[in-house]
Order: sequence, then C-alpha cells, then structure tokens
Amino acid sequence: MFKKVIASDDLGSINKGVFSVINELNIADIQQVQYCDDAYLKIKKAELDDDPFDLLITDLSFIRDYRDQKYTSGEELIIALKKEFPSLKIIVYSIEDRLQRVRTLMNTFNVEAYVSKGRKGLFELKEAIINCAKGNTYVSPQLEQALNNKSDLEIDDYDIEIIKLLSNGLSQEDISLQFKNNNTSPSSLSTIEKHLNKLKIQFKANNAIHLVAIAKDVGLI
Amino acid sequence: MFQAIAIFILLLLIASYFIYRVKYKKGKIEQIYKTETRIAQKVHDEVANDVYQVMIKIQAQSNSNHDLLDDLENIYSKTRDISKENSVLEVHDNFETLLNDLLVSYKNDQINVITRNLNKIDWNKISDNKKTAIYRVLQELMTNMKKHSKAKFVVLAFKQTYNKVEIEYNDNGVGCEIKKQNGLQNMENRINTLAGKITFTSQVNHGFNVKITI
Repeated sequence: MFKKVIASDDLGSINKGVFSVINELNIADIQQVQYCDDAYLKIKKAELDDDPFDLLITDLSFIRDYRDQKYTSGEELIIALKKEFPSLKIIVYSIEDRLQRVRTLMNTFNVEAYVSKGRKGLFELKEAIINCAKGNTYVSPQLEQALNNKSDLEIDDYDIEIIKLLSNGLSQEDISLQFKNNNTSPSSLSTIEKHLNKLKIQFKANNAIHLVAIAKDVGLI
Repeated sequence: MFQAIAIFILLLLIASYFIYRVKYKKGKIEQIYKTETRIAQKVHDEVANDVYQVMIKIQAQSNSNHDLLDDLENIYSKTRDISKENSVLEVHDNFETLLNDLLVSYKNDQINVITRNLNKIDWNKISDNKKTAIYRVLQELMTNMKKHSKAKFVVLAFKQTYNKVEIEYNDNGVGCEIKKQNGLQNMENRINTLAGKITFTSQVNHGFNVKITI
C-alpha cells in the first residue's frame, strides 16, 4: 500500500472525503493542497529531501483566483509531473466525464486511474487506490466505455446486404453463392458467418429471424 | 456608358449585401456558441461542484438521509447534463471519435445504438460550424429518445455527398405527435441557420424518424 499521499483539490470539503478514504486504508501520511503549483512544489521538495510522495490524487479544474499560477489545471500539472517524476502514481478525481478527456488522460498522459466524482465517488476512489497500489489501472465503471473499441456501434452496407438477403429467405450458403456471382467481396461462408455473429451481438438478436425483425423495425431494410 | 456603370454599381451593392449577410450570420452563430459555453463552464465548475460538496457532507454523517441523497444526486446529474449540453466542443479534429463517444454514452442494457457508415464520412470536408450543429442536434435527439421514447433500438445512418452530410435517425420507440415545441424548434433553428434541412416524422407507436441534410 502507499505510504505518502498528496491530494490536490480547490475545495476543502471534498478533500475531507478523500481524507476519510485514506484513513480507512491506514495510510498515515496524507497532505492536502488547494493549488496545482503547491502540489508541484511539495512533490519536488519531497523528492529533493529523499522522502518522495508515491501517490497524487488530483482534480482537473481549479477555479482561478487572485493568485497567479504556473499550472492552472490538473492536466498541466499531470503532464509536468509525469515527465519529471515518472514513478509517482496519479489518480484523477474529477466531475469531468467527457469520454475523450478520460481517454486522453489514461492513454496519452498515462495516469493510473480515473475516478468520477459522484454519489459512489469515494467508494470508487478506494477501489482505485487499492488497484493502483497493486500496479493496476482503474476507471470508474460509468466511464469504462472510454477505453472500449469504437467500432462496436458501426455497421456498413455489406452488413445491410447480408440482412437484406436473409430477409429474402436466403441461407448463409445462398448468400455466399450470390456474393460470388455478383463479385461482391468477401464472399466466403466463414466471413459471412463472422459478420452475422457480429450483427447478432450488436442487435442483441437471438437468431437470424430475430435480427431481420429488428432491422426491419428500425428501417434498416 | 452610364448604364454600364450603374449596373456595375448595382451588382456591387447586391454582392456586398450578400457577403455582409453571410458574415453577420456567422458572427451571430459564434456569439451564441461563446455565450453558451461560458455559462456551461460556470454551471459545471460552480453549481455542480457545490452540490457535490453538500452530497459529500451529508454522506459523511453517520445517519445520512438516503432520500435526501437521492434527490441531491438527481440535481447533481441534471446540472451536469445542462453543462454538457452546452459545453465547449472541440470539433476540428477527431470529430468521428467525438460523435462516437456521444452515441456510446446513450447505449446501455435497455437501449442499443447502431451507426451505419459513420466511419465512411470525411469530416475534413465539413465546416466546424456544421459539425457543431450536427453534434448538438444529435445530442438533443438522443436525450429526447432516452427521456420519452422507450426505444430499444436507435439507428443513425450517415451518407456524404461532397461537402454535405445526410443523417437519418430512426428509433423503434413509442413515437409521438409532432409538435414544434422548444426542443424540435431548437434543432430546426440550428440546422436552418446553416442552410440545412431537417424533417421530423413520427406516429404514435411507430417510432421516430428524423432526416437531416447539412
């Protein structure tokens, strides 16, 4: 488990929640800051003192006030820290739930975890800390789709053609034959089977009849 | 001679009138966009964050009131939705991913979302203003679908001809009588301002259909 943790968030009372989670996990050394610049300086100083932090929990958005800041957002702080202190683990704890930003932070900036502030936020934060301590990554369940393969939704004209022919009463073998005759490629039985299976999963259809019925229902054929 | 000059000046006037009108319209769209995103950011950073703080405070109490927490959570997600519906959109690059993310977020155990030929569209040929309008309109359609339609399936079919995109939306929900109230009017305005076309067709119990050309 982690020994020395720093939490950065511009709202004191949210940190209180973070504080209680850290206590539950029996981590003795937890420090809080309300500015990204302070987080950076503390982490740097601890490194120089040879007593480094091993986990940062940070928000992304910080409201600007009278103090001029070098790092005005969690993102800027993360980029700087990951470059300078690659062994420091980082958990993002934010209201932000746009998938693109989650993906960028996880895949490009390589943070270890992304937790969405919500009703179950603190519970998920605990999960995230436990996972990170084991060397795993973690993303809140409602944001997991950020890392999914994006082709999950997509079908194309080839798929539609298969469903159309099915609806005309053709078997998979017939379809394969017809594709060969029309020079539609690919036409092998195994490819058609593969596409059909993909379509059944996408449409949550139990069989080919069910698939045709749904496709008709939503005007695809 | 004088006639030629007169005609020339007249043409010049007409041309500059049209150029002015296009510029004015474009400026107006950008102004609206700026105002919307500024408010969205404020709602997000200030209101949503504050509601969250209250939620955490109540949760920290030993005998926290769960009904109250449910209500607060509801308000919290509503504020986040308002902010999301109007927040900054970076449509210039990777628009396909942005759109895909939007559509995926409405997919769950009850609702299935399918796109047709979305990955065949060359978004570089489409202006940023158009992309923003497309995103907002689809966002509104999907939100309406989730709230009212009871649909199990939504299909969005995409087609491109040069610098125009056609999008057809279909769901198998309960449908409705088409009344041009806020939501639909809003979508129509967004598309019409960019010289596009949008039509809504629906019948009770026969799903909802929308065709957009922009």
